[in-house]
Amino acid sequence: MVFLTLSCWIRNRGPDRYWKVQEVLKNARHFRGRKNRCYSLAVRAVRRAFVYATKARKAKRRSMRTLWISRIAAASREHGMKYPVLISNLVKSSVQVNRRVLSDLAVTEPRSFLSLAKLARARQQEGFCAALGNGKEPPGVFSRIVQLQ
Amino acid sequence: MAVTLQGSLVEILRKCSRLSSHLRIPVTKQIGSSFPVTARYQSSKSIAYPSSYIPETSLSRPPWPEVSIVDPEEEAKQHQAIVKKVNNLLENGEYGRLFAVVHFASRQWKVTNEDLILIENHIDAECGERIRLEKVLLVGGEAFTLIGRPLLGRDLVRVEATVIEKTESWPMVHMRFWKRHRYQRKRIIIQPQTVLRINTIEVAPRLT
Amino acid sequence: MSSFSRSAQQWATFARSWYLIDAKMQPPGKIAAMCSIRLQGKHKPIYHPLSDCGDHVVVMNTRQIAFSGNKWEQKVYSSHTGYPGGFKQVTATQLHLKDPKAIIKLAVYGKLPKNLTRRTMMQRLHLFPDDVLPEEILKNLTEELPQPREIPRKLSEYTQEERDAFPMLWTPPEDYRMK
Repeated sequence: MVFLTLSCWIRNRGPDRYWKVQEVLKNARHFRGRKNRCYSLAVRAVRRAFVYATKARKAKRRSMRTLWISRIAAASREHGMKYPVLISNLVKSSVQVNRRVLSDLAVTEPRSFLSLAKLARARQQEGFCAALGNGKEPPGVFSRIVQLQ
Repeated sequence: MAVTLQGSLVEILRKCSRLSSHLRIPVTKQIGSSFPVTARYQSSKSIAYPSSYIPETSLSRPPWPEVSIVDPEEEAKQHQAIVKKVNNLLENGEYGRLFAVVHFASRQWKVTNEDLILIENHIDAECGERIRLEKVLLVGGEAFTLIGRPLLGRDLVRVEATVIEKTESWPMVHMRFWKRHRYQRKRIIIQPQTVLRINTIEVAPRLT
Repeated sequence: MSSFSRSAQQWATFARSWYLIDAKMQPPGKIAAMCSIRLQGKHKPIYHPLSDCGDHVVVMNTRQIAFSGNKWEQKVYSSHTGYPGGFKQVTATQLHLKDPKAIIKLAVYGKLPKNLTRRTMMQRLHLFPDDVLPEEILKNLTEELPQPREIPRKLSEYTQEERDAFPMLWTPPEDYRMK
C-alpha cells in the first residue's frame, strides 16, 4: 500500500468508525457540555452549526448592506439631505459608487463625501428647475397655488 | 429705523409677489405709495392696503422648497476657476496621499498606495506581475475629489498593483439540511484567492 | 495628519454629546423619534449596533406636549400587574396628569430597539416637566435641536393689521353678527 501523507498512514491503523467519529468531534471540541465529547450529541450540534454558518454567510451580506445604508443616512442627514435623495440623485448623475464605498467615505473621507452630497444637491436643484418649467401653468389646469393674475 | 422698516416692507412685498410671475409691479414704486398709507391710518381700525396686496397664507407660496437657479455663465466661470486650481495643485504635487475607488473583480475597493487587497477569485496574471486597475470611479486628495461619472479617464488616473500571492481560502462547509425529509447535503467550498499590493496612484494634470 | 494627534481625534469621535429638545407644543411621537435616533447613535456615520455610540438627550417642557386629534381622550395606555384582575388602562390625560414625563418616556422606550441595550439607552434620556434644568445638566449641554413642529400662532398673537388683511372666503352681509 502506498500512503501519500502521514495522516493517511496513521488512519490506516484502527477501525473506520473511530476515524469517522473523530472527524465529527473535531468540529465540536469547543462546544459546551457533553456535546464536545459524545458523538451522538455532537453530530446533531455540528450539523446545526454548519447549517447556521451556511445561512449566516448569506445573511451577512444583507445585514452589512443595512448597516452601510444607516451610516450613509446618518452622514447625509449631517448635510441636510435624506438618504433616498442622495442615492437617487447620485444615480441620476451616473455616479456608480456603491453603498459600501459610500459609507467608507462617510467615515474616513468626510470631505469627499461632502462633495458627493453637493453634487447630489445640484442635481436635485436641476431636476426641480426642469420640473417647474417656466413657472406657468399649462392651459386648462388650475393648481391650488394662488397665481396673482 | 426708517431703513429697517423700508427693508421689511420691501421684503413683504417681495414675498407676496414671489413666484407670481404675472404680477409685474416694480417694487420700488410700491414703497412710495404704501409708506404714507400706513403712517396715515395707524390709529384707525382698518388699513387701506393697495388693491394688489394679499397677505401671506399657506397658499401664497408653492409647497415645494424654493429653487435656487444658478446662472450658466457664472457656473461656467466657477468651473473654469476650479479646474485651473486643481490642475495647479496636481502639477505642483500638493495633494498629499491619494486614495482611489477602483472597480475590480466585480467589487469596489477604496485603496491608497501600499494597500493589500484580497480578491476572492483567481485572476489572469502570474505572481509578481504588475497590473493596472483601469476602472477608477473616484480619486481624492487632500484638497480635491475627482468624481467619475461613472469612470475617470484612462489618461487621467493610473492605479497600478502587483500580484503578490495566489492561494485558496480556508475550507468553508456548505451544509443544507431539511429535518424529517432525509435531506442532507454537505459540500466543502474552497475559493481561490489573490492578494494584490497597490503600488502607485497617479493623477495627471490634464483636467478639462 | 501629523498636525494633531490621532488619539485626540479618537476621543472626539467617541465622546458623548448632550442634546437639548424643547417639547413645548410638540407631538410626542416626533420628539421620541428624534430622541431614539440620538440615543442609538444613528445620527453618526460611525454607527454600529454593537458599539455603544449613543448620545445623551435632555427633553424639557414635557408637561406641555401636544397630541393631535382626540388622542388625549382616546389614546389608552395599558399595563398588567401580573395578578388576577390586574389589567390597568388609563387614558393619555390621566397618565399625563399623574406623571408629566411618562408619555414621552413610553414613546421613546417603544421606539428603541428591543434588546439588552435598551435600558442603557433609556438611562441617557433625561426628562424634565418644566424648563428648569439642574446645574450639572446645564453645563453638559452641547447643542439644542430644532423643534420638529412649527408652533402655530394663536389668533390673539396676530396683530390687528394682519387680521384685517387676511382674505375672506365670503363677504358677510351687513347684518351678520360675528361670534
